Amino acid sequence: MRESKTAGPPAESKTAGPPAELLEEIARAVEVGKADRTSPYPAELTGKDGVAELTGRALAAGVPAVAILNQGLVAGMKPVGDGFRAGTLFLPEVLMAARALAAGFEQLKPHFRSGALKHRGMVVLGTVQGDLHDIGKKIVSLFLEGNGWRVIDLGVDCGPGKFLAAIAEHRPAAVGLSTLLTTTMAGMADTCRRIKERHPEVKVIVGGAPITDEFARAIGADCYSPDPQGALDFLAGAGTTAKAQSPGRTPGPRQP
Amino acid sequence: MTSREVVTALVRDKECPERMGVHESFWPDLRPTWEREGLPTGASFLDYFDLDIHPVNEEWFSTEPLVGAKHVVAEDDTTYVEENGWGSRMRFWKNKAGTPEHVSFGLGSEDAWRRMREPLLGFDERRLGDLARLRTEYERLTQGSRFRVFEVLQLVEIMRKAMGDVVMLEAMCLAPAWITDFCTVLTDNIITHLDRALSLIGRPDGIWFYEDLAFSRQPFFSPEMYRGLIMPHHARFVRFCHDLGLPVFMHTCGNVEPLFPDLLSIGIDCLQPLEVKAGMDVGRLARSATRRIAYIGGMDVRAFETNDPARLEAEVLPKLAAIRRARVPYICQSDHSIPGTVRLSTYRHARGLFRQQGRYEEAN
Repeated sequence: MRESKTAGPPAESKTAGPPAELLEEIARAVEVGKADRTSPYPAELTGKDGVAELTGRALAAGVPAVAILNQGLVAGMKPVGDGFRAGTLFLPEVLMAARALAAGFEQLKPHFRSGALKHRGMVVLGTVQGDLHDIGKKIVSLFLEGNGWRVIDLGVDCGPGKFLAAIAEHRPAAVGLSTLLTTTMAGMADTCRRIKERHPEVKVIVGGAPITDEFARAIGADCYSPDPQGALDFLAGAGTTAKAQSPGRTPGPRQP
Repeated sequence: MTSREVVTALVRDKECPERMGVHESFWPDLRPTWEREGLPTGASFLDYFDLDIHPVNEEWFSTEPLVGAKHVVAEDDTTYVEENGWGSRMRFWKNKAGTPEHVSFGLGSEDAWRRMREPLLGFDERRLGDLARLRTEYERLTQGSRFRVFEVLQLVEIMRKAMGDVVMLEAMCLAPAWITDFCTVLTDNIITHLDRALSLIGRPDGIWFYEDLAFSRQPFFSPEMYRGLIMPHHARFVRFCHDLGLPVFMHTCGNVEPLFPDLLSIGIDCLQPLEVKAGMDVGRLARSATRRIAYIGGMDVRAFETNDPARLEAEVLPKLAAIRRARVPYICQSDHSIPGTVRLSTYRHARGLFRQQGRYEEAN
């Protein structure tokens, strides 16, 4: 099992103490990808409680749902994002963390439904027209959801009209455009231009193997990042949460 | 020296003969444009550009449990959806090349695998497809002077077609015994059928092993996971090829550099295509290599796409000079394939640079 970046041993059942310790256990369980007691991953924690049980126990102990979300689940994803950015964590570990996170979100569903918990905002994602690749977009989606964003995934081969319709319907804080192909970069530029013409308040984030910061600047995108954490940092720093839908905002900081 | 002799020296013997090789992949949709720009109608790219390697496409034999089950289930003006012998559905462009969209997968669980593994055990001649056509193709290739390679799809590529990225990567954590069994069965299947095919058709000059192990930033999985789950099977396949005297070319997209020491250790003879946008660099790889291997590719296709001769030369000439100085066994190619945005005149210019500047003796 990989080492947790947070202090202390990995999640151990029936040792949860005060709320702060329980929240740390939830965070560690997310980080190492321990979804629930039945999960065989990580092998070293077979039979131990995972995020599902720990979250349930925290709720039963009266820990506020918002604290579980932010100090447990989201906090647990942070080292995963950092490790992925640094190249020390890989997709299988990210997927395990995402599964563990989903197990926690499942426990929190009633609190989202009641309005006690809110998503940070909404992001529309899609691969641009002419391109059928989607793994990069899926990875970004995992990290966005893991950080409390609601994601509307439009899929692949999305023309500008599909993005504009989704923006009109969902009023997202940001739109993420993905492409793997050099041949569809022109289509990305056109989509970005049309979004900015109609919805200047919506942040446009671009990514994909051939994309560069220079290209992102040239097409008027608000953010380019070579990794999901950069998009998260941009969203956190760009005032997109809650206030994002006020029109006429100036572009936020661009990732290096 | 003939093409076959040049590529044999570079890839099998890791030597630097009189010149570097030249190879390329072209997107099918560029042909109409290039024919308008002067490419003779119907001309073979291999002949027109005098390329050195003649591949026999990986579809020459099937590694799917249901042989001959592939069929189109839906289509529109620009795409069609095909169901393969794993029961997976993928959307392809009708008039251009590109990685297909994964629509759905037939192999979603270990239980499904238990049902599908049975037809993959043992030899089934139907998997070899049209043997008469293959023999004719082989004889034609043998009469020519190009280096002949048979392409073979490998394990991660097959898993992605069968179960998709997410199920594959999750199973590597949650059900590693399933992945190990899958890789064992498929490696047995590939070796059994390749062995029989070579005895029925004849031996090529090398095997071209298709296995995307990475995306733009890093490998799909850690080196430790590669070593535990996939590498032993790759090593077995490479040993099989080497026992027949066949060098192994490995195609893997993305940034595969973290796995490079392991690929060297299993005996890969040649790495391709070295995508620049993923950070691959032939010079850096050659300097870090613990033994000599050959390389194909690494010329940034984005420079080709500018259709600006000066920018193309700025990409190609310094790299060829460095490779020549370091005497790296090298075959010139873009860092993946030539798309329809590249003009015929641009590729002709690149081809000219490869032939004029891709020579080793100038370093002597």
